[in-house]
Amino acid sequence: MVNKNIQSILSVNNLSYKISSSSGFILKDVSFDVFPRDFLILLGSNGSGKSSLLKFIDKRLNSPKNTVKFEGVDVNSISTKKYSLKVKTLTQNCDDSLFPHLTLFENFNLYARNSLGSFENNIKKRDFLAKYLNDFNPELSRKLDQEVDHLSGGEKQMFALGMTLLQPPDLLLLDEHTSALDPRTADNNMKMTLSLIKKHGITCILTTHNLHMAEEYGNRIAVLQRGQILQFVHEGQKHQFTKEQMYQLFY
Amino acid sequence: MISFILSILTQVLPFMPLAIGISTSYNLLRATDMSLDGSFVLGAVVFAKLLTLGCPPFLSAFVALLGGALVGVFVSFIQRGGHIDSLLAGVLVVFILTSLNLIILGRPNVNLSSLNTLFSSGFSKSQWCGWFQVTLACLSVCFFSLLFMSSRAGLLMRSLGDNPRLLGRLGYPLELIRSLGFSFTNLLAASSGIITSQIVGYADISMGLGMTLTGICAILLGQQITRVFITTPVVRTGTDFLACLIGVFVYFLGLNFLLRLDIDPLYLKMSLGLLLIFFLRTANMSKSGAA
Repeated sequence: MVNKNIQSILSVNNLSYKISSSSGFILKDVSFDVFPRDFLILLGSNGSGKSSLLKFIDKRLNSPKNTVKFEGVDVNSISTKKYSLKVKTLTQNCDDSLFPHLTLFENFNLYARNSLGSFENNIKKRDFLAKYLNDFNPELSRKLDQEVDHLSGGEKQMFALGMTLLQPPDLLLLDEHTSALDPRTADNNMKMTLSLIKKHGITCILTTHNLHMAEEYGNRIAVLQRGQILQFVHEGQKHQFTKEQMYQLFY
Repeated sequence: MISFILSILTQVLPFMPLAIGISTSYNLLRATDMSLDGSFVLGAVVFAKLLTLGCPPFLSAFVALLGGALVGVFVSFIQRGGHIDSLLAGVLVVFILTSLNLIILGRPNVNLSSLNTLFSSGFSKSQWCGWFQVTLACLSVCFFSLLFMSSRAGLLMRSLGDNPRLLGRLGYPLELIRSLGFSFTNLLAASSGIITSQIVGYADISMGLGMTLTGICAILLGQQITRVFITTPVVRTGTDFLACLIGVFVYFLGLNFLLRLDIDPLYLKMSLGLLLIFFLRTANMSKSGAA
């Protein structure tokens, strides 16, 4: 159960969104809080508004004033540079998080500016990267001079995870980041993601349409349908929907 | 045969810096910067004007290069905020430069053959000595361009073309990097204009017409050729430079070959365009066939 005395890291208050005045709501009066070390799952079918919600949280979409607050401050008043260090996103299209036509080492050079101190020379920098990537996937540490575009889908996603967590953020947004991978690769990636989240004590929001995944990983689950939160399921609680109702939600 | 090859080289060399500029904007910045046409002429025009005013050749060249870089800053400024796209911004700048070049020069063309230029000391000794100086200048520009693209600034420029949104999210100054990129490419175009004006012996306000499109055609041709033997480029910048070099050489080879066939100059560009379409289509068809 969540302790309401702890200050929330993120709060969303009555967030509504529609593309045009004549179209329907993509998000409608969405409100919730995320507390430190939470693992919140946004569960919903395609088009339920999960990804749009994450876009407001990571500032890819501009939110109305005071509807999205990070550590008590309206996200619009936080500089992109500062915010991008605190809140990071990993999507199923890992090319969003990488420079596909640059080498792994060049990608690291661009990511490392904000995250790490200066290295004595390039050799030490390469050594650091090789060791760092070895924990993610030993193959990656041997491909430092290869372009990201030439990696396999699983390697790309693992490399994107490595770069995203080069400096662990306060809040990590995972937008169905393993959904484009085969089950075994997705499972490996998820295990790695979870171990790093645990190791660094990162607060996380994960979107999925997979009920089993939601129940396995999340300590809280928000069920979304047509842009509205239908129900919040806290750790230890059983969701209120019957199997038939859940079936209606997703199928 | 040797004279035929030498004649091609004399055309390829001054075109190389411009071709690298076009390749950088087209392949790395992912923008079709038509302003390079105007910067090519601006380089030649400013250089020629300053020489006629009695400025030393090195100072004239420096100011002309600076002019090219400023055009790049202007192109980048027009695109600021994404209100005008890069293609339109380039076309608008060429439009403006057509007037500006005429204002600077004061007349449609200026003869440089009687003036002291960067290469006149070499050519006064012998043709070989003069061409050696030209070759050295062109290769130096190419070498420093490659060096620049391998530097941190070059990496930032390449990353801007690759994923500008991510670069912004990582907190890099996008507009500054864009300005740097366009300044670099326009400076290269201006350097081509400076070298060309000295080789041909005059600066003319219409000398850059269609240069960018010619360059893009040549680069695409070079890319198709290099893809045959470099399937997985290890160093993309190096491969792009090589493609650029080969493409420009093959383009001028084709041009000179058509001239040798005594084709009426009226039909020259049309024939060359059709030949390029044939080459590109054949290369693409063989590629998809192989796949």
